[in-house]
Amino acid sequence: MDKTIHLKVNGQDHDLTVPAQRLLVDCLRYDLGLTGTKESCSVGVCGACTVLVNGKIVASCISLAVAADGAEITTIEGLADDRRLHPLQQSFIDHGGFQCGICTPGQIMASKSLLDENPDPTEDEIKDWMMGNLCRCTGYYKILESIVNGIAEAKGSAQ
Amino acid sequence: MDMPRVGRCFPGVKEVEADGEQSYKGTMQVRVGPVSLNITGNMVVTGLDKDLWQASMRVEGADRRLGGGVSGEMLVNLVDLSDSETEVVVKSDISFMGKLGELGQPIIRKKADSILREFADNISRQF
Amino acid sequence: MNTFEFHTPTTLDEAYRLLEAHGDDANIIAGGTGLVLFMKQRMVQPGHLVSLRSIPGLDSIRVEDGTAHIGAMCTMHQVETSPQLREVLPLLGETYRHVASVKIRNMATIGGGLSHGDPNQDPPPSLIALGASVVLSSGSGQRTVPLDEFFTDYFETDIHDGEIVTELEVPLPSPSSGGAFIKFLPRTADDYATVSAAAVVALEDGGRNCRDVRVALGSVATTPIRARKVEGAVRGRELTSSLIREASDLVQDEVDPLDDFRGSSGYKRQMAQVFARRALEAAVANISAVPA
Ligand SMILES: Cc1cc2nc3c(=O)[nH]c(=O)nc-3n(C[C@H](O)[C@H](O)[C@H](O)COP(=O)(O)OP(=O)(O)OC[C@H]3O[C@@H](n4cnc5c(N)ncnc54)[C@H](O)[C@@H]3O)c2cc1C
Repeated sequence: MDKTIHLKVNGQDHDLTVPAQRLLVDCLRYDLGLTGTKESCSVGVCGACTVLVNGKIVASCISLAVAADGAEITTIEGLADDRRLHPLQQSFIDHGGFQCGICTPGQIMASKSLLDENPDPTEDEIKDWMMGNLCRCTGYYKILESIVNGIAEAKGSAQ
Repeated sequence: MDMPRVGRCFPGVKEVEADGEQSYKGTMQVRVGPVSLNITGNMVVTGLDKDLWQASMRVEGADRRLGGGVSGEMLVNLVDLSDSETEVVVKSDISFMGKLGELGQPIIRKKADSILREFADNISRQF
Repeated sequence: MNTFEFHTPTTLDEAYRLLEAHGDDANIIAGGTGLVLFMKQRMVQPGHLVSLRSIPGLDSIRVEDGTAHIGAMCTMHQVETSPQLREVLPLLGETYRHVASVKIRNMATIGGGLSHGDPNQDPPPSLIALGASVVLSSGSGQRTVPLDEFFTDYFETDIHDGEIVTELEVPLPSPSSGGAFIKFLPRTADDYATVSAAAVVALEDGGRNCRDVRVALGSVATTPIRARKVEGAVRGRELTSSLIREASDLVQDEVDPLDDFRGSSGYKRQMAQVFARRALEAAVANISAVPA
């Protein structure tokens, strides 16, 4: 059954009519064309589909779009400020934090939300927070390095 | 054997009625974990031995909405233990298909045990 | 997934009416992490989903008269990070932080987690050990069910048709008490427990003997269980390490684990013993005011 919902995605308002069973990840990718968000495991484990809903990371592959009615959503497309990449995005490039790139948008959204909640995390806190974002290529060292440096960079530029 | 009465001793059985000689149809509600099925099906008495107090039957049923069901054979045997005691022996070989089958063996075995235990309790209370 | 009608009632009364109107064809949806997965796998195919998200007041946390009242729609992450709860019930944060990952804890709710009734979940052992209860509300009133009576079978609970879990009530532990939760994770850090155990112990006023104790385990039966034999063996006595060891062995008779890819029934039975012991030892070590 169709339902009309309102989403504010990356600062832009959208009124959409979607079937009730539409998943948020499909709504973002196919209804709004925001294909930066990836779907991989489809069961809420791997973290590839991580987006921010009202500032909190969620697994969009097990979220119903209708349940997000009225929410503010941020996807990887919404992180850059004009053409300047977010410090975390830049850091993933500078420190080789990805290979195939499928998990990267999720890794960056998850680390962005860590930065929002805990601007000065220890390395253990980073590892604990990032537990829900899997990568099958890098072996995680590069990802950790990218996040540590990206967060330091973001803190520096905020001061 | 009063099949409708025996049938209703199964937990979850809603109605049982004869739809032929030695053939009955009915509905049963089973819940295994998250899956809740409304099974409609039938039971045919395939053998009845009054001397041995033994009945065998074939059951078959399906839930159309969820796609799942059961089928199998059951053997019920009454054994006189004393003037006031009768042992009810139920042997069953039931297969679970579709959604029920996907839940996995250990949990289905536990559920089947508990259904049969409740059946035996109800039988001994009824008769 | 099948299609369905998505309802967003804004009052509990409206939710009760929807549940009554649609009966078996309706499911409550909270965070959706459990339900949407079941729907994707076509294990459940409801015609109506009744969302609790738009009902105000279900996500509050109050501590009053020696009890923490936690609204059913609080997310697990909210409870895990609540400074108020960390102060009076540190075991809650210590437990909820073990559930899956942050993104799941941002979605999953306290009430949804309990209603789900999966025996492999983390929160029930700690909540049972703390003596918590759930408040069930419906059009015909309210009742409170202690959590050690709430779980009835594999994914089944004592929630009656038309009832909604509205609150979790956790009594604050007495002084001179300590608690611990241990999740045994031999596979990966974000897995469900192979076995989990929680214990809360309280000492007699100014003494060394155990005044009260509760031990509960997860992943060892079709429901979370309370280990009453273990409790009985230590209650009223001094909690020496040999007594704890002897008492923990009794858990073997109280568990009935399922075989699965995390381990055989026999293996889990042995691990239940080990982790009941470690949880008790850790609970004793966490007692805040140990008399000299
Ligand atoms: C990837 C993944 C990993 C996980 N790992 C763990 C883990 O390590 N440890 C762990 O403990 N759990 C784990 N879980 C399970 C998780 O705890 C549950 O899915 C979650 O708690 C369910 O809460 P929810 O709010 O999302 O409920 P929903 O999915 O919305 O609902 C679950 C069930 O409860 C019913 N329900 C919901 N709210 C209420 C209410 N207030 N009153 C009555 N009925 C209600 C629904 O009808 C449904 O049947 C994991 C889940 C996922 C997806």
